[in-house]
Amino acid sequence: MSWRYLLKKVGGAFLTMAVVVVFNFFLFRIVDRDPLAKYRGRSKLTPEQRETMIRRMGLEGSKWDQFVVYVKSVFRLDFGRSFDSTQPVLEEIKMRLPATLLLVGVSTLLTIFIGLYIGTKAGWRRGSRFDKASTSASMVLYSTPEFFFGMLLLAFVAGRTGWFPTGGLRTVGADHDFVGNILDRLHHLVLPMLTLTLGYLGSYALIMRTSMIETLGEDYLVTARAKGLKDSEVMSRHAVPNALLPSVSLIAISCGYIIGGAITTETVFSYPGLGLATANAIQNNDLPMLQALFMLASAAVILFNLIADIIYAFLDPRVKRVE
Amino acid sequence: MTTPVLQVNELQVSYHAHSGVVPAVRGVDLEIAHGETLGLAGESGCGKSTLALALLRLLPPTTKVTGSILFAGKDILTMRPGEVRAIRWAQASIIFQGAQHVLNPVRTIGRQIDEASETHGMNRSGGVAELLEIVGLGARRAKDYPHELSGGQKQRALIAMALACDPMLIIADEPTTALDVMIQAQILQMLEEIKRERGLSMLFITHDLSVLSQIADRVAIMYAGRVIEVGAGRDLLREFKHPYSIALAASFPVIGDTASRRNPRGLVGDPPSPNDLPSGCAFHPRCSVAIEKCRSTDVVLKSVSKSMDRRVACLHFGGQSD
Repeated sequence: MSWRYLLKKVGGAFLTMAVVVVFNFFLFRIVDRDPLAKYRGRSKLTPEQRETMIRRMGLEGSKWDQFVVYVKSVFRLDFGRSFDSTQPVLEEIKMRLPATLLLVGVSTLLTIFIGLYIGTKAGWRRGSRFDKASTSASMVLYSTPEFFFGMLLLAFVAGRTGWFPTGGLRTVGADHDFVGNILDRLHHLVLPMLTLTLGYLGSYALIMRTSMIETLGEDYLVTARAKGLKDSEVMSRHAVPNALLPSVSLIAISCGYIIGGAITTETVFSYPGLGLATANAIQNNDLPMLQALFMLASAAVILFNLIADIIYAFLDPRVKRVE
Repeated sequence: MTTPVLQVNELQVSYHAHSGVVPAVRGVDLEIAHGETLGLAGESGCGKSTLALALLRLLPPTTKVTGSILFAGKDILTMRPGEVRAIRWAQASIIFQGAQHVLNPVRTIGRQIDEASETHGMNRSGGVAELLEIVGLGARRAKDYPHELSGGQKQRALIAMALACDPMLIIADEPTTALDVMIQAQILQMLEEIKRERGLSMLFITHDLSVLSQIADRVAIMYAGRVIEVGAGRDLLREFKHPYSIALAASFPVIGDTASRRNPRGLVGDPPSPNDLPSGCAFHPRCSVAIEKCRSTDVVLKSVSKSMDRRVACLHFGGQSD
């Protein structure tokens, strides 16, 4: 992989992010013409209070002035204060980020590894019993929304058996030592993680199966077999490295969906991460919070795609030439 | 008489398609002695490439293969998978057609060549570098990926790969078909030299009869899954006997004869579909000298001269029409 390629891809990612920042400015001005509308209901603001609020939120002056103030504060990672908690948005996000990173990170890794493994095996042994079973299962998983799994798990596993907690990040009020604390958090993580993993496993398996089947007809597999390689070697050394290529970019795109999936999953399990914060912010019209969360979600998707581009260049030597 | 390197008896290959059983090879006998090159020629779809893959049992498992294929006296069709893998490349390797996607695009040439000798536990002293020098590519190309090589270079890399395990037999499946005439001549000369130096046997598959005069000791012409004429190379190429061979030869323009180039005497009609083979001699619908009996009589290879090992499958030869 050349530096030029890397530079180009990183530059592209930053450019996309810049577009997102600009878009977000207008989006939230279309959503609500009066940003203080939420305050109307609770108590009457005096004109002085209103003035103060507007100044503090950077809503005075022309649209262009507002835009400059907005861009400056985005660079300072200053997203204002949450309407809801009145805490700085950045602090709110920092507080919830680790929980979501853990949930989404573990689920993404599990989905990728399990999904690719199932897809590879099903595609290689096309038409076998494993292929038929796993493809039907993947179809079901793929077509079911992840929060539905969440509700099933909640009702039948957590509710009925009591093996797992029904929600939260940890047992409130429990006094654990360090190890006990970790175990308690993992215990709470299992069901949301399972929900997200099941929800996105199917699409990965189906994607990989399809690219595997497309690879099966390639001449170089005949060459590999003619050389006397074992079936498993033909698969792992020749079929899989090529089948991965089209999968990588598709998988990067669907990584973006997992972030969306985190919103519903965290809501179902009252898991206090960024997903639940997003759902709450939508409900409460917490515009500063939403603005920051939207930007973060976009950044995550852009990052996933950048990673995919880099991985792709490592997997496919032909990318070097295509500049 | 020593055991031939390869002996094929009554080989039949049929594919199982939705439309039913499709015979691609219909009873072929071949024999290749030590150091001998057998040229196998025929139109596209006559079963010659199927034959090449069948020799190393590389056809899909649903394909039905009967008869026997003896490598140094042992039948590959009755072997267990492990034994077949041991034969592949170590005893007989294939030079595939480089223009096709026969090299893995994401692995270097060097690794792909090395993989063959590694699989068979052969550690060549010179390794990949030596092989690449032999085929005139240069050791430095080992680090290149297939897309970084030209068509001719890819073909050379494939030849280097075929030599990796010092096989006794090389099956060359149209190795020069996609190359321009200059490169084609270079590759043929190189193959000829390598073959002579190493005492290799070769099965050279092509649709181009002119190539065979340069390289083949014996020539077999295939039509619709059968060998219809076989004989010593020079003798056969000087004078074809089977009407199909004659027509095939005539379809190539003669250098210096502009008339033949402008209007090569092509064969009338298309080769028969293996789904729907004509009765009797499969060539009779396109044959200019076909008689009524050709429709009904199953023709077999018969010797036409005692002195030379020439056999033809045609009612007009070998006293079959009587």
